[in-house]
Amino acid sequence: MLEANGIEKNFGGLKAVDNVSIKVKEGTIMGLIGPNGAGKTTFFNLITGFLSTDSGEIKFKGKDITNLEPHLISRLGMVRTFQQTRIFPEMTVLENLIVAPQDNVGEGFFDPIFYRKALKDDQKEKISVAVAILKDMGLYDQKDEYAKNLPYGEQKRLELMRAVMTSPDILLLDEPTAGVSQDYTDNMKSYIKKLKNERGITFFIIEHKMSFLMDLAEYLYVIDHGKLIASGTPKEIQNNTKVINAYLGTEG
Amino acid sequence: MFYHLTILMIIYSITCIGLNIVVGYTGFFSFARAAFFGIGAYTSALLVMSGVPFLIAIIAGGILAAIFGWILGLITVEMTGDYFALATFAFAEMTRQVFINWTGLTRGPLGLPGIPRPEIFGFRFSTNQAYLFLYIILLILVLLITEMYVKSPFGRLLKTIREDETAAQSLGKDIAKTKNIAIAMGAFFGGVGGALYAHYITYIDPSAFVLHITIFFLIIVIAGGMGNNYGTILGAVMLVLVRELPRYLGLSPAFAASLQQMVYSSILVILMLVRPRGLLGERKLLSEQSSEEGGK
Repeated sequence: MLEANGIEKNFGGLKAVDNVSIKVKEGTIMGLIGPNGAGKTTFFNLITGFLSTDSGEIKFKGKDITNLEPHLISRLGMVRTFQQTRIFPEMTVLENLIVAPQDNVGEGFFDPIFYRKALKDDQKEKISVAVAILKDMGLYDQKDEYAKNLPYGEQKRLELMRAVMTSPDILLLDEPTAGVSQDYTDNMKSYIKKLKNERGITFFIIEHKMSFLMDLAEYLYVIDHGKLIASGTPKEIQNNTKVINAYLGTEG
Repeated sequence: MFYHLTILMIIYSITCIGLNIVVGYTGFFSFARAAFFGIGAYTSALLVMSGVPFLIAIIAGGILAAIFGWILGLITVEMTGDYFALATFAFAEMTRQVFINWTGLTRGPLGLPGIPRPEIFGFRFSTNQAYLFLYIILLILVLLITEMYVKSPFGRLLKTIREDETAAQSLGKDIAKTKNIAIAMGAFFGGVGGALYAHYITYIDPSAFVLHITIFFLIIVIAGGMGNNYGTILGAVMLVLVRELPRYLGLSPAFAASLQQMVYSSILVILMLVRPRGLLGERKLLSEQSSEEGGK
């Protein structure tokens, strides 16, 4: 589904991403791990078009998307979240969700004039979808609260829900549990599983915490200093000496 | 006096409702307002003076301002924050220089005197009462149109640009295009406001479109309430009173001018401290009720 070959990115003299190739299969949960500063987020930015690559090729659903504009990549069905959560703070929780779908009627300049009826019906439908998701995630009571007033863990969940509202084929999550409590982490884990099973969404997840991905991901890539140093099932990765040296060793 | 002040309030309200689309909803500080106001004023005045009907002329003034807004949007597409503000300021100054130096068209610093009063289907709006009536109708029209827009998904999209452009892009929103439309829309109402100003005052010259007036418009939006059209109207009422009332109090002009500046600044400082989002803040447009309806 998603394929990246020989991706490179330099910042001045620093090789942030050095010849990294990955493949994400449809219907799986895959992980990208590595120590801080390994180049994980940079790699995400490259795949999703927020940074341009120096060399290499990215294919999504068989289409070459290398250096395409981010909103066009998103429209193809690959949607991401951010490590530093990016919600719309001065908009309500419900508004945060309603604004996300890519087939929203009424976002063009002439739509409010010519599609009044269609716009209303569409909004109603989108609101009911959003309400269902909010109830599912237990955020329904806060739906009219400004997003900035939510606790950090719930902002992270809101960001994920907002991404889900776009009906993506693949979700790229950048540290979905960074800085949140164990409760939220467990909650997030079960929600991701549910999304995969019920909606068939493919996941590619960056995590710093290995434990989060150990029983969630089917396959892991490990990068360190911009280079791919290992890949395999979580079990294989746990026993890989290169990985242990680069990463787990520091935790042990 | 009552009619004069109210008419000014309406003209500034229409202009600033346009500015609010850019500053309040989309979140970009634009210093180009005087330029759009001026483009609308000159366009409409010159058209009516060469025989074009009033209504067509003010719309043409708005459209020409919108076209310049669109071009400005294209040029500044990559700019955010301070850079955008500076670019729009430069644009406004360039426009003013054109007003001054294109003497064949604008008569330069001499200005355009004798701009005809509005005439619609043979009815000439010559008294202030008639003016007020006409301008109130136009204000209601502008308010209806902009309210329809800001409450629509389009309006919500504008807010996402203000809130977090990157996040909006990640959801697949074409930020560049939407921002451009917002600037053009804002410019349109700025142009219409300028046209209405020209036909009311009946005389314009380049000194009416200086940075000072841009700042005046920005204070209206900021004081009234960013992201709230009614707040903008309230801001216009307040600022017109502050600016014009000292003239009627029998104070010496020099004293009145400095008093005015002091009151301006005090209003801004107090508001920034007490109500940073203006007198009327933004409303929550997606209500409990509408979500309940949708939930069923």
